[in-house]
Amino acid sequence: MEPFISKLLIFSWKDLVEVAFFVSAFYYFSTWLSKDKSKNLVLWFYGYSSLLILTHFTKLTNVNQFLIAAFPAAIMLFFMLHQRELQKNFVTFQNIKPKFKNLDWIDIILRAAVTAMDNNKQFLCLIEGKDSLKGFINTSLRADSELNESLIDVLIKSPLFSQEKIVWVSNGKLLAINAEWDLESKKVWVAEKSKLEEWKQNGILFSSKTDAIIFKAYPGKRCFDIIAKGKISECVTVNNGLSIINQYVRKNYSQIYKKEYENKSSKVKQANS
Amino acid sequence: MKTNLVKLNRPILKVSSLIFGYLFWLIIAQNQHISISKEIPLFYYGLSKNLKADNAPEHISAIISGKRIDLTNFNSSENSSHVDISNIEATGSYNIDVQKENIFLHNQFKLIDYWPSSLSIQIDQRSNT
Repeated sequence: MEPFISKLLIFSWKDLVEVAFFVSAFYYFSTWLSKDKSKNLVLWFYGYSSLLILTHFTKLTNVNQFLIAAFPAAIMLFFMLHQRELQKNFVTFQNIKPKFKNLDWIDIILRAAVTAMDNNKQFLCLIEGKDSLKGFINTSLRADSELNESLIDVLIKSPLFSQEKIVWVSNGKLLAINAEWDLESKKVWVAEKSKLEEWKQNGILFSSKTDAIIFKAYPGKRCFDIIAKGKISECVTVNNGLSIINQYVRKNYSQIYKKEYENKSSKVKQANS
Repeated sequence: MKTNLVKLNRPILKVSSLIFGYLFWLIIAQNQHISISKEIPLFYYGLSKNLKADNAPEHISAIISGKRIDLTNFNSSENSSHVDISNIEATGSYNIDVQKENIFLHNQFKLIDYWPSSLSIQIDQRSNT
């Protein structure tokens, strides 16, 4: 046993302690990196480490020294890219410019909210803008489908639909239902003594950090509470709700809406002539 | 964005951490100078042909300093000690001093300490058979 250990260049218990230190550091860092579900950070880290080790044993001295010198910066980069760190700083990815198939998707979602109220259900909806909220939301029921009334009617009337959870919509698409916020630091900022409901606190937080809009429909009151840019508009009627939401959404995608509007107008003119 | 995430479960992480952790340590420690204790073979020379040394120690212990990677390849044939006992002409028990100059090591190594510095050997008549 001892000759074998000596062949590994380990001569004393102190060497074993040192090896254990490096192995533990590597293991805990890899485990933390593996918690990022959106990127393959572990593989990148293993790739970098493999390159460093390979250049050492193949005596590519210059490359090896460069990789060693850049190692602290690489570790910092992994820290910065890690989803949890991005979450804590509310750094979001940007959605690719969408192509709307149906410009009336806001009408559809508001009609769905009315349908929910008619069925005596609350309807909590998150409208994502340019800032992607992937990583901040957990859901077990993904849809990833173009918004249409039939689909959303079926989902709302389904026994699986939870009125306490979020209907997640983005750029004319229904992304998911029964979604929940996924925040490590959630408990830090939710004020314990605040009278505001939790969904409103989350809504104010996310709408102030991103361009998301959150609204909730109450069957009893037959009105909406809408949160955008950190501000709450309480008990808004359907018509006013439509104009408020339209105002914010069109601001985000003004170029797309302008182009689509021009296309529509020219088609109408051609049809008339 | 869509990514094909490779599922890395805990056993794989543990095994790969063991390998990478050890290799990282190896890179740093390979050329490190350390001191270890080694057994060095001891040879006697110059004894008269009609005499023999009985139960004489065959090794001495020494603390040797060198690069870790060189110490792994420590070879007894290249590193040894030789003691001159040509001044012994009769049978009996003798105390022999081992000097630093008696110990010969490869250039890669440096002698830090050794023991014993004095040996007791029994010299007997060699039987003519």
